[in-house]
Amino acid sequence: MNYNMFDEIDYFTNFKGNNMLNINDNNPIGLNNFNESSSNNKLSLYSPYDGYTRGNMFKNLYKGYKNYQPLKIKVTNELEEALLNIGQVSFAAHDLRLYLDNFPNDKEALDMFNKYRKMEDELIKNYERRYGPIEMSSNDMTKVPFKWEQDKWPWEM
Amino acid sequence: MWAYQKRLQYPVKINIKNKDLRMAKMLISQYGGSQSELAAALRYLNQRYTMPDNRGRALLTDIATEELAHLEIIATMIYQLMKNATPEEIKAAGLDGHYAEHKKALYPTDANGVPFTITYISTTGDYKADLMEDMAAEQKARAVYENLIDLTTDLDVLGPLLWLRQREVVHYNRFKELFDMYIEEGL
Repeated sequence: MNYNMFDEIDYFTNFKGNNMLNINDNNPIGLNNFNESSSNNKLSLYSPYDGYTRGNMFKNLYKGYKNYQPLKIKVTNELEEALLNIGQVSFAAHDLRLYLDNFPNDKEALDMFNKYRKMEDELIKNYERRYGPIEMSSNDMTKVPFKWEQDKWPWEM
Repeated sequence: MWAYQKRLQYPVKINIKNKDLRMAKMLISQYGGSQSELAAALRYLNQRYTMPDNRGRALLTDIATEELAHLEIIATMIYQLMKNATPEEIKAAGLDGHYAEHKKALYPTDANGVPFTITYISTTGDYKADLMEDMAAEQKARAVYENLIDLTTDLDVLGPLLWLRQREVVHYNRFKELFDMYIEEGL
């Protein structure tokens, strides 16, 4: 994966078009490491990937333990990579949602929330077409056997 | 109502080769102990009805929901650690008590095998008192995660534990933010 962009159109084009998994030393995790600068935001957020590995999107709330650094998340196949891409934008939307619960009039946060939420929806739909349903609302359950119960469950991955 | 997503909020993949089986016994603490994710979810789910406005109703609903996702992360770690363990390995790891009662099934207890009890949580109908409890609960859960982190060097376990610990920090700050706003607004 050689796309390091946070441009949604490029991002989705690459996601759909790229069938090769290329894990190398420069990018050992083989992921979309969104490098969005948020220096103009008064919110001061991490990129979705950096936020996801830390467990926190908000720079002012990150507090590490001892000398531990956030661990890089390893992926070994395309399915895990797809899940990780969903995981990071979904997490970004979720962490913004908790903030918005307290500050419902923050338009900047709301726009960011909607941006990540839409990306999550799109990535989940792509995943479901390829690997099977994540949500009960999936459109990919028309054939028997019932796809919902097929494939591995999260604890069996 | 709730909708399940068939994925973990944060990935768990325990490598069989260097797995720290003894941590399964300790991790149960966050599955069914007094500061567990289960206690957290049930605490907020019961307190949300008597929050004074929509900010409180929303925040407690959303954090409670996230705690259920955390419960699944903890369960997955315990399940994967124990999955292929032999009875000898189970004994050596101090899990024979768990095995005798539950074999390899999940069951909410603390690290000493004390079953989960709803008396770990309270609701008072006083949202200031309840939010104070929530802030304390997040701090205590953070402390337990730090205890757990101190007990292992298995990176496959440390990754999720560090992540879950940081979520406690974030939740604490959101509860405190809300509490401070309520006080400031004289609610």
